[in-house]
Amino acid sequence: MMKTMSNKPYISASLALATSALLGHSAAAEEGWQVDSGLLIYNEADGRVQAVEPVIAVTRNFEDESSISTRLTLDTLSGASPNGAAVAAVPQTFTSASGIARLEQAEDDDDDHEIEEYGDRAYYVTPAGDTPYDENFEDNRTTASVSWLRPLNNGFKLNLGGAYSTEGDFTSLSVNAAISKDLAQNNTTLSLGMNLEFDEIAPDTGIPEPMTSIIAAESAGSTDTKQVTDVVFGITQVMTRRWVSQLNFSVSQSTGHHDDPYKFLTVADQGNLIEDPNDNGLTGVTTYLYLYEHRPEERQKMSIYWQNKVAIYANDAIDISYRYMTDDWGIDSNTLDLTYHLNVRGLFYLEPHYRFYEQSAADFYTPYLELGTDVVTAGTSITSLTEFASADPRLGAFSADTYGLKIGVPFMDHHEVSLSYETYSQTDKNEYKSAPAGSDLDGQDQFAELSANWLQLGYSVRW
Amino acid sequence: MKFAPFIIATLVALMLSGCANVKPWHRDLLAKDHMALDSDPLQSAFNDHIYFSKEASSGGRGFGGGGCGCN
Amino acid sequence: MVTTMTPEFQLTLHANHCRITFPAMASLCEVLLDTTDTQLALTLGELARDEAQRIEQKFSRYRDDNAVWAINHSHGKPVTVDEETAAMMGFAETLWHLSEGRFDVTSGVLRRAWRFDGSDNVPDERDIRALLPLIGWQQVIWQSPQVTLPEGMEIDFGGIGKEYAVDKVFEQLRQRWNGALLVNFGGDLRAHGPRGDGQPWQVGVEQVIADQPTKVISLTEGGLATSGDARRFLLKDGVRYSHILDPRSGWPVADAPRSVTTIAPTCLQAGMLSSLAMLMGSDAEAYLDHQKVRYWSLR
Repeated sequence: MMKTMSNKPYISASLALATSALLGHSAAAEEGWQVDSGLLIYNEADGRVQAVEPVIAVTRNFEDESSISTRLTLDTLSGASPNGAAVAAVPQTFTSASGIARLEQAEDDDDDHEIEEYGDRAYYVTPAGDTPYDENFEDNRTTASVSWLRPLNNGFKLNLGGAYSTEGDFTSLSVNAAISKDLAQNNTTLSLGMNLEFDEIAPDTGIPEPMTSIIAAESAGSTDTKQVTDVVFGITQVMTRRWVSQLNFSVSQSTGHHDDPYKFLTVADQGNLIEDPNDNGLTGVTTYLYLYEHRPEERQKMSIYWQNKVAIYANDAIDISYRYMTDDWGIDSNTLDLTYHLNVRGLFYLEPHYRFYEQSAADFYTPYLELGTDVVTAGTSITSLTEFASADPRLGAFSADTYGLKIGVPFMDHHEVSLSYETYSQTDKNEYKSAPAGSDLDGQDQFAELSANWLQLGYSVRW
Repeated sequence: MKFAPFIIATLVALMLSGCANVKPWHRDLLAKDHMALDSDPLQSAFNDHIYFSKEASSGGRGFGGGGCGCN
Repeated sequence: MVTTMTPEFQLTLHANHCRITFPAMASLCEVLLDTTDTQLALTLGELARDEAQRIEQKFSRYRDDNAVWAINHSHGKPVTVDEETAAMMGFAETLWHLSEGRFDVTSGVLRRAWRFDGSDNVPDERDIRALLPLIGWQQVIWQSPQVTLPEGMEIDFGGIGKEYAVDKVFEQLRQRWNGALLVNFGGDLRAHGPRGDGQPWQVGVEQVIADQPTKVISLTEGGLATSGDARRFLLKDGVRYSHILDPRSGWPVADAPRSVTTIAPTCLQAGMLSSLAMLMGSDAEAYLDHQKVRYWSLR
């Protein structure tokens, strides 16, 4: 059992840990400040979304092992996002009711500036065979969050936090609390946490009445809300000297408005696009029938997350995690995440990374609606026979791979700079919804596979 | 997922048995920064946000700081 | 170290601080508080005295009414200990591993052979060899909270107790009061500063070699401990036998420094590092260099 004499082992870290354990602390407390900053540059293929996101977080650690942390994130997004309409063999013009209203107003006022500004937004055209994108997507979002960690008696720790996020058409407020307990000489930690979120959506075009024509301009109000409650129970266990593992169970309940106010679905008759009976004949362009999507008012999710971190040699590590999620919208997903931390001579580290993701489609996901089965029309009245429907690719079936590499360089005692590059690409796994041969929708792509890449820069300093 | 309850119970039992009662002086490796379960919270937050806005799943590790209109 | 008679508890008011002294753990214990509020100093001083004496009572091998006595008289039967004693046992085990067997709380039986009174009474090799089977933590069965100590062995927390008391008293005082303070139990100390005037505490470390001026160390925050053989040694045929014994051989560590003073975040860490360094003998300084610790050594 006694080790043979090694050449002067470095014991300060172990001694510090042992001393903290004897004095009844759960970890060596170091008082000080920490500032972490980062920049995300995100880019999607096919001229879709682009985003630049700077973030700064400041943490103050106290001698009694409590800490306060605040974080500020700015998000600037722009670009194109699929609007839910199906790819067709004919060009499609999409008009926006408010866009038309503004344009008409501008023309009445003879306001050249307004005409120029809203001219584009009144309508846009998607060429035949292309995925319809709403190009005028631009948003700036600010998120601020604060978190307070405080150790209590008997190995308990309390964590309280809140966050506030605002963007042009969306505001979110959340509070969270978690309690954890260390057992078995700190080899085991049990934790229980809860998050309450309240969101308000206020699109500039108002909340559209679901499953109604996009040019009918039926409104369900100017704002709507949703509330989300999440509960997480976790076990963190030191398995061996080299292996730490965490198992989390979460349940989530979301109630309220889930529809995306900017997304709709094509209605097809035997695979052919139909003219919208409400067509108000704007500049003699044929406008087809599209209905705003509708999602259930309730969503319950359950997930299991298992993460393992294993130290390799003295300074390397491997991180493997798996998450299974299932919800009552019919979506099941599996996520596998692998990262290897390679320390290069103590000068810098490399982290190659791979992530595999797959999800099944929501029950109400469909690439388009069928006249007669899903929707019936009588004159100008349009009735949907299906309660819920969405063509949002985020609710479809697909798998995705992410490959990435990060390089981190520590320098000057407690400073670190890092650069990470990742590429993401989705593969369609949906069941193809066939349309009769020769029709507008026959043989067209039904899922806009997303490809994106991003660069993350990071800089941290502690003192 | 009929086997789910069985798999979960096995995982929990495995976790709590902890294989060996790891002695305090043996936690030196685990105390290193890169061995923390979330060694780069800002990067995790960026990634979680990206996946939350492009996929139907979210969370796992805990819960994020604030919702967005992106999903 | 003061060996004159001291009263039970003494509080002295100085120009800008209060000094409390009381005897505990065979030392003069001193608490310095940067305040002139004698009522506050009295309360804090009594708290310090009570905690020091509680720890002494709990871990002293000279008493017959504590867990240590129960363990040392268990005749090989398992004994269940409380949380604090369990923590102490765990710490002792860690130290034994980190020192690769040199720091061993079961080595106390060697005092039956060695008496360091400055004389030339070096024990016989046979007497020492007879004691060796009764030494060695590897023979202790420790599975928290139960310890099984083989018959004839004994556990002595003497090498840890004083530093532990310093840190515990320090933490108790810090929890109740935010001012600058220094807790000094016979040379093992812990400080929090800076003092009211912005200055660090000035700590005088007695030098083991006569005629050496007292070394003054500035300490704002942290622990300081000294291991040395000032008064406890044997001298025979010109060879000095230090009282620092290597439990693996039963003999004093060869070429240990005369004294080692270390500074670390806590008194426990400072004390353990200085003890471990002494146990490394001629390698003491190299060992401390490797641990990246502030220290002074005298040879």
